Amino acid sequence: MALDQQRNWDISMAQNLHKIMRLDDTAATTQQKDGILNSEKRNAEAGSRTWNTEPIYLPDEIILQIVEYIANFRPYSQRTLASCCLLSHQWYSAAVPLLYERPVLYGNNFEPFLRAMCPSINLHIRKSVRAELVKSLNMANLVHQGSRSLTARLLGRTKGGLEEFVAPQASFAINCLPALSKCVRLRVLDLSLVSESPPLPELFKTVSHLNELRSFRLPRSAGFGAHHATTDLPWPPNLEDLTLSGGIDGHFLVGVVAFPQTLRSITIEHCPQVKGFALVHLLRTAIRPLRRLESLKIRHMPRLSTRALDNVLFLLPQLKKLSVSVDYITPAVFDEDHFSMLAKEPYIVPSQTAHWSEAHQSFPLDLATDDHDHEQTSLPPQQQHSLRTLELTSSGNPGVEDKITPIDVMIAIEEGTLPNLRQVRVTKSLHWHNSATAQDAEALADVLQERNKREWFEVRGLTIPEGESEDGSGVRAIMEGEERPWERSAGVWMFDG
Amino acid sequence: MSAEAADQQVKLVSSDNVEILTERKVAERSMLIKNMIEDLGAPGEEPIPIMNVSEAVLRKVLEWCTHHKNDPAPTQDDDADSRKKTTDIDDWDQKFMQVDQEMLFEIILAANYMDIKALLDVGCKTVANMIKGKSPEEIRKTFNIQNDFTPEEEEQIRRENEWAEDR
Repeated sequence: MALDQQRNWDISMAQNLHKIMRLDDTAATTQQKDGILNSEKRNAEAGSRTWNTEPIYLPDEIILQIVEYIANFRPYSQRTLASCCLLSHQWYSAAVPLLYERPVLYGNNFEPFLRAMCPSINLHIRKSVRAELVKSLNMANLVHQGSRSLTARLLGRTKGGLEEFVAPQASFAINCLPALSKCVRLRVLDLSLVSESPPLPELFKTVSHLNELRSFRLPRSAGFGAHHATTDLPWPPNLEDLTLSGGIDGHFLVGVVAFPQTLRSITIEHCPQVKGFALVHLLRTAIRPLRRLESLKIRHMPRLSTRALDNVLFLLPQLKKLSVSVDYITPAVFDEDHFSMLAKEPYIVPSQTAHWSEAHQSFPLDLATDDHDHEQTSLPPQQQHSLRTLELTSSGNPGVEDKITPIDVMIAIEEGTLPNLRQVRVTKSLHWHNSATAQDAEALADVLQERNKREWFEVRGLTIPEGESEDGSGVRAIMEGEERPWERSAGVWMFDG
Repeated sequence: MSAEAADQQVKLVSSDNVEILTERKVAERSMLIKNMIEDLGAPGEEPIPIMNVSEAVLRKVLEWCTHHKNDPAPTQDDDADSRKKTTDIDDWDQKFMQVDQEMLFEIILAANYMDIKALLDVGCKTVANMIKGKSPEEIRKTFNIQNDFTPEEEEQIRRENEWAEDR
């Protein structure tokens, strides 16, 4: 309250002297009153003890620690952090970097945020150092606010510290690329919402300079058209995680495009035009040669047939994690036949590796020599599938619930086709928790845990103690704590989505 | 630590020169005291001065240490991230921290000085929880923080951070 009076006083500076004096008086009495109230209250709180009533000084590092906890109240920490900035100089210094680190932007606060980032010269405000504090800029919630030039300006102001950028749907275009190319610390670039992509060759030229970039989601409108020589696309040198969606076309999918060997994870989703044969071709020619690849996710591909991806495990023996919609697979995905074929087919097709040679120079040494050794001769065929985590999702087609049952997975384990499988994650919309299949799911969980337990003891050179009885804990919800370590990392989980 | 050492008593001296006798195991929740005991060699004989902490605060801190004397010792590389992720405080600690503002700050300062990381964390979390959702004026009143901004500075900060005031 006293502060408001102060503010009023401040604003009324231009008014006549009498008025100022009168307001000042009021402010002073109010403050006095507050002071009395405060000390009374404090005395009441302190009880009979008498404490030093001078403000207690907390060192900077303690205030910093308090403010860090406050920043964890996300997503509602923003307002409290702003309050902390107003307490004193000391609190300001501690809170302001956290307030600006990952601003939560939405329609109504975008304009004021922009003013804070790019203060106008006319207002005689010093150059914004706060723009340098921004590490993550998420413009996903902005639709009609801003413009392309504003996005470019914002990127230009924040380029010094920016590590994550999620582009807005409507206001990202070719004029943002020069600023983007200077965001040298960028690790995550998400263009998936961008409805009108800048030309791909320019986009790739820009991102290929971003040495820190690990995760890249291409625009949903990405036009990998026939006009570009897609094999020559330069990739960011350390890219690990790639997401393709939307309008990727046939040219891209027949495998003309060359993915970088640095990739560990690929997601392909929401591609309304992609047909099954094209996707399988992409898996075979462009994704299969990726030796570091561990994770693949495919979902929401409306033109795929009900068994379009039955070959996926056999095509990609290096996968440790597969997430696939049951809409596109049948139990044949686990067929032994596929795996006997796997033994025959060479793992790396030499002709496919030819165009990697240039990129090899930037690879870590071990991988580079590894590649060199096997450049002409293909790797020995992989006998065992690496798959550890199988995630079954639903892309919304009717009647897919029964396509893959817990029994199917159990048979695959019993037959030895997936010796490394430990985790099965299933979306709740596939109803594995329903009475009809719940028992089977529990049985599957037991099998997975039993295998993990055996492995756990083997790795440590121990023998499994006699009489260790399973309590049939079976299917559990995520986050539930267990005492036995092998139960934490194996089993069946149901998740929303 | 041998059984004998665990039962050992140590003598602490507060800043206002009051001697407090306590179990060695309790006192060694403080890394400051633990290191001092190791340096002194013969614990129990020489009193250990806790220069910056008054009797009242020291007794309160020792109350916490007594309750937590059997907690597992913090590992050297206790990853700071997981510790910071949660602002949950267990029930006993919450009750323990129901003190007036000055005592709360004194406990935090003592925990910092005596190097009791877990107590410092609980103290900071308590302050953070009390600050949550409050206006600057309310926070200043609660914690007796002096506003050292000029009205102009304050107005400018308010204007700059206007975007963050909604949520």
